[in-house]
Amino acid sequence: MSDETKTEDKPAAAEKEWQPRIIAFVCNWCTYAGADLAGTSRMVYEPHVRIIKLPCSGRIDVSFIIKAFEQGADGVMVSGCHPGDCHYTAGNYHARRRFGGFRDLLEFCGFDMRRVVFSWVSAAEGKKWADLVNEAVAKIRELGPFKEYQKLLAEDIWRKEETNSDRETG
Amino acid sequence: MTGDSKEKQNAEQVEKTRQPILKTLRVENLNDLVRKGLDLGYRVFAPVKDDRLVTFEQISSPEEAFLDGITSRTSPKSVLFPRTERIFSYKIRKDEIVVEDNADISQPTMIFGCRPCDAASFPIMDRLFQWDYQDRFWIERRKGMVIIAVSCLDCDDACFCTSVGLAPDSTEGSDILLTLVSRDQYLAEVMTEKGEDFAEKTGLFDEAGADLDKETATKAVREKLGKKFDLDKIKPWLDENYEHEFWAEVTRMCIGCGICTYVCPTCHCFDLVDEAHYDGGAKIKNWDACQFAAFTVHASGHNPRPDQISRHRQRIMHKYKYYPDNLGAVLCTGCGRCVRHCPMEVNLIRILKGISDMEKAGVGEE
Amino acid sequence: MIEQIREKAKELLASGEVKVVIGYENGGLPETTRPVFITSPDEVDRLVWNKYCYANLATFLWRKEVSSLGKPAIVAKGCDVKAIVVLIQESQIKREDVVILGVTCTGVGDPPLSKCPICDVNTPREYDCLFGEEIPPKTDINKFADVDEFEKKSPEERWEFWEEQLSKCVKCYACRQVCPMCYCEICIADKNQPQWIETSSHTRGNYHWNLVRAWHLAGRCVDCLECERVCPVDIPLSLVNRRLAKSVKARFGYEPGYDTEAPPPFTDFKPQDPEEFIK
Repeated sequence: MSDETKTEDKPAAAEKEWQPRIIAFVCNWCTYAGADLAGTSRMVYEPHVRIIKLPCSGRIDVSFIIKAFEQGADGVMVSGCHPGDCHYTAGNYHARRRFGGFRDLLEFCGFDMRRVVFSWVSAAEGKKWADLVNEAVAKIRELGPFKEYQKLLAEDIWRKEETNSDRETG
Repeated sequence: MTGDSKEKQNAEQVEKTRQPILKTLRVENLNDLVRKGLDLGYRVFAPVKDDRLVTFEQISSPEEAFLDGITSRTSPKSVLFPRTERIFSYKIRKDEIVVEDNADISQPTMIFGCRPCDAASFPIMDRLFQWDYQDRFWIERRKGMVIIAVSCLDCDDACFCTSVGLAPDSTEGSDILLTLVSRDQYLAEVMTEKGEDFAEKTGLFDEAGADLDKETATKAVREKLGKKFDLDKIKPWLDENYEHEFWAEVTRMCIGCGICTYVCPTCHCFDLVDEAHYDGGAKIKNWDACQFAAFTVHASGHNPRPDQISRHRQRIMHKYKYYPDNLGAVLCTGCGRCVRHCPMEVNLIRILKGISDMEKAGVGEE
Repeated sequence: MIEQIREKAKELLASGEVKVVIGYENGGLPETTRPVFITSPDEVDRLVWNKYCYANLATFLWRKEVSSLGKPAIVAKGCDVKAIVVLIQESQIKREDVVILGVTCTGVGDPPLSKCPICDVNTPREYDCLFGEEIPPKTDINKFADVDEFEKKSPEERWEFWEEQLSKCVKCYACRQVCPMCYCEICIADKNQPQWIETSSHTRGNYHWNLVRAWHLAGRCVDCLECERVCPVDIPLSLVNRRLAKSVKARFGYEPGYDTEAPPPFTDFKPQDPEEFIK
């Protein structure tokens, strides 16, 4: 979070400086290592992604994705090892089946599927990871905040009259 | 505290009803009554129909109200006791935590077009919410609330108000009860000061002549309702038969969906939850139900009501034994919703009839 | 037909082959039936069979209130049998531990429920005894016509539709309780350390619950329509269930409830599974 864009304490300024919030659920063995490689290779890429490391893409429950949106995420990335490379042999194959079905469900319910990005990123693909993040951030910046879902959060009274800056400092 | 003084205390807490003042309302003025309510600043809740579903919703024009059904799917209890309600919330800010009470609880509110069985549910629940703990949310809302009920001229096989001591035209709980006595005229029984005050403010009610009589209007539906079981026989049997094979026999098909409790006008169990997020949270009151396995499960994992049979028994015991024992009223108004909407047709009438028949046979009255 | 069912039930109970016959009896309200659990051969006359036999009795096969009675025989329509098949696939019951009294069915309800015109199991696919004239399976049906139609809407329209529908949800979980597939001892909705799905019935919590409910039935839902029948606020749950059924069929060529030997699709995978959505 240290590289978070600093925002002023004024609502107007916060509104102007809205930045996408993306949560990435990644597997420990490939994508996380790939993201690590991007870092150690000093690649510069968009800072608006928060990475949550899990043992395997097979561990990524669909509830994680919904929970991220519930917490105000504008986009979600899900990433694991390429087929055949799973540290646990088949976790990513199971994940692939699951996410195929689940993305159809989200699409059916009217989610903009440009906000949910699935990918395979190996430990050697630091560049691919950086590109994917840049691409996702650019896309979500274009789409703007996930207003539809955030409208559902508006029922949380404590969130009312609140600005981005409030949240970032919370 | 002895049972007597407890009852006395309850009687004081429940708002006193007086001899009704009889007035009339022209049918063509019914919509104006709602409009007046809205103009006077009341939040008006009425049955609203969407396809087959009738629920109590806040309305902004009289045309939205739907008064033709027998009962709505869900009861108007949600107006006083919402499905989900914030007790207080807090925001975590840089230097402080800001706590906010839920303030919007005492707005003047009007329940329009509920049935007498629904109106009757409020004084019954008053006993609980004003018992040892004074429930601020219930009491405040109740103070600002005027209930205008409409007598039933029809019923279905699930209705059983007459079997629990009410009637399709009982005034219990209503501030004003309207009964359609002729093609163009309602008889309005103004039961409370609140009702009188409201009637006056609207200026829509006329003095009633002595010839008006609601009995004739509701005679047919009374006859159709009949008596489905003998209420006096229920509690004596329940007092003695906590353990009885009858329970398993009549409730084995219960799947614990809890619809009966959610549509019930008198079920009132709730759960308090914390919804905490990094930037704030709230203490929230949600409906809960004795039909859910998780309702009684202990932290150890032990569940004193381990199966649906014991959970269903609890619902009936609570309504027909524990509540009468503790608070002096049957916790049921005979609206029939649980019977009508039970997906497995568990059918409370059947169970109560079974009990009253057994009790009758048991004491050798036959 | 009911006479034969009663006769068979009597025979099974008298011989001790089963301890209970799960069937339908007349309900107290008109046009209703009620699940009944017959344990004595003398009581078989309570059994009925008519177009108001809505309930999917398969749910009672694993409920302890009923399973504690002993080995069951169950009166089952084609759609109910599909649920039994999934329970067998998922090792909740063993095939030899249940006697299936299959009934042929031309539809329940008056007018028939929405599942009936698109039913291809008027004659159950799996049974021990069959009652009623065999009805050849329909071939020219599109189970997903309304799903396809709904998908033509724009994302905004779809979102709006579900936002409105799900805002009605009162979180009574009746959809879960009635579902023969929802046999988890502790449902994700009841887990509170942490609280995955908030118990409040605000639209946010309702979204999470309804998405997860539908999702946990992907590749398992046999569209018996019980959830939609019981929903006290009339949410069209079958629509979203069948969207997932369509997805599973298209992606993995699998339909639940037809083959007791087939592995459930989400316990299985193929190296060549589609991944057009993965970058």
